[in-house]
Amino acid sequence: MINQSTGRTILGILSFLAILLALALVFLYAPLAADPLTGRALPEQKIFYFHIASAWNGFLGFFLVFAFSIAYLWQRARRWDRLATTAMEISWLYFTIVMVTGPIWGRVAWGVWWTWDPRLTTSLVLWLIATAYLLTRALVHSGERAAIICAALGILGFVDVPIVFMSIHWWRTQHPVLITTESVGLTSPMLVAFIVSLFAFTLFFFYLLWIRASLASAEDMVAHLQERARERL
Amino acid sequence: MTIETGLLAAFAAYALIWILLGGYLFFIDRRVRRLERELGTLRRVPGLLPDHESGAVAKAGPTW
Repeated sequence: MINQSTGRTILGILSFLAILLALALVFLYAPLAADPLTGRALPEQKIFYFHIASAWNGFLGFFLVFAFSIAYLWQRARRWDRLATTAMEISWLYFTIVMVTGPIWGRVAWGVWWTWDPRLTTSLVLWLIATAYLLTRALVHSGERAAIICAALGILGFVDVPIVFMSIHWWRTQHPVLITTESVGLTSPMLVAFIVSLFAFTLFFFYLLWIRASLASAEDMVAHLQERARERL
Repeated sequence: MTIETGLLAAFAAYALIWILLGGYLFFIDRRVRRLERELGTLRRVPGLLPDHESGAVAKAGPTW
């Protein structure tokens, strides 16, 4: 039987190896994309592999927050709130990566850092919801009150996820649409690099979730012990 | 835009990704160290952690 600490270490090593493999595939195996009109090489497309992987994990984090928030409001058990906060923290981190890497690509491909495109705008709204959630958590001192407010915010915030995802289909956008139900606009080596990147980032997501949830649980125990210590003194 | 600009953008994006993820791991590590310090202080309170090995801390439960 593997204990929690060994399990975390194994997951950490596995995700580190997967990320190394993804880096090697992205930079050494996947060919440079080419402009279909001019044939010019597009090295900035390499950003795509981890930009999409981060966005996918950001969505996954929001889904977990949604599920844990419902569980918290249902059962009012502290562990659900702890897990929701942890998932939101990591989701925010991944969405920050999306919000940082996207404009770098946009500056090279479009010539601008930012444009009020539907995909970009809805993504910014989602990032702001995650920021609001974490600020509420930090600023509202009553634990139970903060948990209820954050659970509501987590459930309402999840509504934006399908809007972000579908924005490129619902509205006119200049954001690239590579993967549709009919086709995948990637060559086979690119697809392999993309799938491995997605897997590596998801593994790392769960590693972060595990260590952060363990830390949050330990912090709660110490807070409880501090309360008991104050009663004794 | 030249190929060099595109490559530079790709590497800059990757560097920023690892700065962000590394920063988060550093933040977790700092909180673990703070927790260890707090636990060290709590261990000095007589009778609070009578039998650490038996899992008394784990059984203590959350604050609310």
